[in-house]
Amino acid sequence: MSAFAQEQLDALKPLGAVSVLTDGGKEYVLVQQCAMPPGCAPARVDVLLCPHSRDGYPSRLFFAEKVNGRGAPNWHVQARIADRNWHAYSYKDVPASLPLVQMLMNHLRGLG
Amino acid sequence: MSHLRIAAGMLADVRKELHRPHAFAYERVGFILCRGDTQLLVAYDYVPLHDDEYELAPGVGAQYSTAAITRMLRLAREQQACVFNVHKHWGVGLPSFSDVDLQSLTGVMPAFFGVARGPHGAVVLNEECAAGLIWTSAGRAPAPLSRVTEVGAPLRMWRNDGLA
Repeated sequence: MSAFAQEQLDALKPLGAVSVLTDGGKEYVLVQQCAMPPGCAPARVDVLLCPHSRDGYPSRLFFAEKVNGRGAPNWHVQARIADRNWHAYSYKDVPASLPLVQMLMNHLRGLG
Repeated sequence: MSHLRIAAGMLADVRKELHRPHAFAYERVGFILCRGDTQLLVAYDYVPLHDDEYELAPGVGAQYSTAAITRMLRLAREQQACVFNVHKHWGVGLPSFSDVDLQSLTGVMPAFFGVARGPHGAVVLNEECAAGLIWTSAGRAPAPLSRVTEVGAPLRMWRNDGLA
């Protein structure tokens, strides 16, 4: 049983297959083959939304691989979560109080 | 009672764009951005899907990619727009949504409510009429748009409220 409301998970489903993973007692939301903003390479990548504070950030978005976009973010984090390697860039001030889909979309702004 | 108003020039552009052939999709899809509330919505922009945002999908008229959805979600969030999916059917008289239409629309609506307050919905056109559905929240079933009005000269209105 996930802590996330089904309605919030349903809102992510148009973006890709959604599942909830647990690591270190915390829940993460995996969106498989999530479409990146226009002009990014790769165009789709698995992303892991961390909708709680971590590393001093109120929420985080991890990517299965680094994405090249207009935004040229600072990819400064590598993490191992749920037996998989992830990358993240520095993008602050996306509150964990937002709906999950809005949280994810806000994080993607870092790519331009 | 819900009422969508769209300028005649915009509606003509929408029909024209939806009529363009695609390399493999049988029909085209776009999104009308509106301002308003559950009573009155006014269309202010039309956003067609790009050619490369369609996916091969046997058995349906058109299927669009998650990239298209992501692009529309960004627009909805940035503009806090009420978003209405629009596509075109053949035939005469008031058009209606197919079961496939309803299934796919029901799936995507929660995402739009996640980024913009709504209401959101869908419009189906043919050459002479328009009909629509409105979702007032993610978890509720849609209701028919009571009226769709093409604002121009002459003014044209299509009603779906049971009134003559």
